[in-house]
Amino acid sequence: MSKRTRCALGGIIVAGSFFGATAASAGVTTYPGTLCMQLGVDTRDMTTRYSDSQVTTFYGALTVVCPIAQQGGNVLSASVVVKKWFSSANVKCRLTVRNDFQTISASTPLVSTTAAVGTQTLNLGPLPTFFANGTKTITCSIPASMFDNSGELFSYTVSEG
Amino acid sequence: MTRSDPLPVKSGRATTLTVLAGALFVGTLALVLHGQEDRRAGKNATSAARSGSALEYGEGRDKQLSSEVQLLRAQVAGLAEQIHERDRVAQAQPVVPAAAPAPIAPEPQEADGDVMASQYDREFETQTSDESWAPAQARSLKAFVDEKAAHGAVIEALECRSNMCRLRMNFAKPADIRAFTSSIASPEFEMATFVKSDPDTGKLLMYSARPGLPLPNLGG
Repeated sequence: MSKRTRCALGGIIVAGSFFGATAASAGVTTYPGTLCMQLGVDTRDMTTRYSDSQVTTFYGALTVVCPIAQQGGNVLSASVVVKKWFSSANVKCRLTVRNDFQTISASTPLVSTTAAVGTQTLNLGPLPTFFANGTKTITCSIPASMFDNSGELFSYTVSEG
Repeated sequence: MTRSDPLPVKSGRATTLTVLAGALFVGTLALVLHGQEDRRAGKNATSAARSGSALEYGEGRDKQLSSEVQLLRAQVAGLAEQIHERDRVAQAQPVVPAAAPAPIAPEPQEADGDVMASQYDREFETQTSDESWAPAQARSLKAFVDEKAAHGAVIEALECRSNMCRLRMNFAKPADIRAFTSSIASPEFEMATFVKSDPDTGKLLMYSARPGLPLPNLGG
């Protein structure tokens, strides 16, 4: 295999990883958290307090939408790997499927992290509703925090069949 | 002639000579003939020597073919024996039918919104009201609708029973329906939901489950 071919293949592999599905096995796809898109910053929670020369600024809560590539099947399971820095700052996620006209949708119950700090996996459960030309997304809320971020979304995994 | 006359010596000698000559002739003739035979034999020997390789080749070839035939016969016999042995073993063992091929998993069927709505409706109608949960949940739902639904949206019906709630609404604009369904799908709404809307008529139908639980399985 020529050097040029190796470089081309390597580029394709990198591009595929960027766009991102690294399939662990048939029907199971893991996506990087970097694919999630922020819907907007809710500024209603911003607070500035002056107390004893201490200034505390709370950043707004974030809602992120994570796309799932349509593989033509029911979602058998879905999970999200998140990290939370504070016990009270819980990350919450749910899975939603919609038909192509956005007139029919189904969502799993909202799943929240526990009080434990650190990395957690949220299991969103199955969703036996399938639309061939519809969309599948995971929506998560990242809570407000006094720092830049109070939670991180590392990756999400979906199994379809 | 008298007895006293001896036989003539010359006559006895002639006979002997004749006999000797005859014998000599016969012997010579025999030698000649034998020599011819030898010559002929010699010729044969020469040609045999010349075609001796051919003869030997022929004989060798025959031997080779014979060996090959014998080998083939032995192989055929061996194969026949194997077949016989296999048949014997097969007869001794019970015949196990070949495993049926694994059924091909049916392809997932695309959901039909109308069918699902009818099925959820049938499920909901079979439920009785859980007074420890249903009234409070209905109030919570109404509060959410009042906060999120656009102005002009009307609640036609809102009821919760044992583990499901049913909401029917009318919206004035299609955009209002989309905004409301987005809020239902966001982390702001906790329950599992099934939503069917019609932007043309402005109607929305929603089934929501008890917090933390999925909607009831509709089955086949």
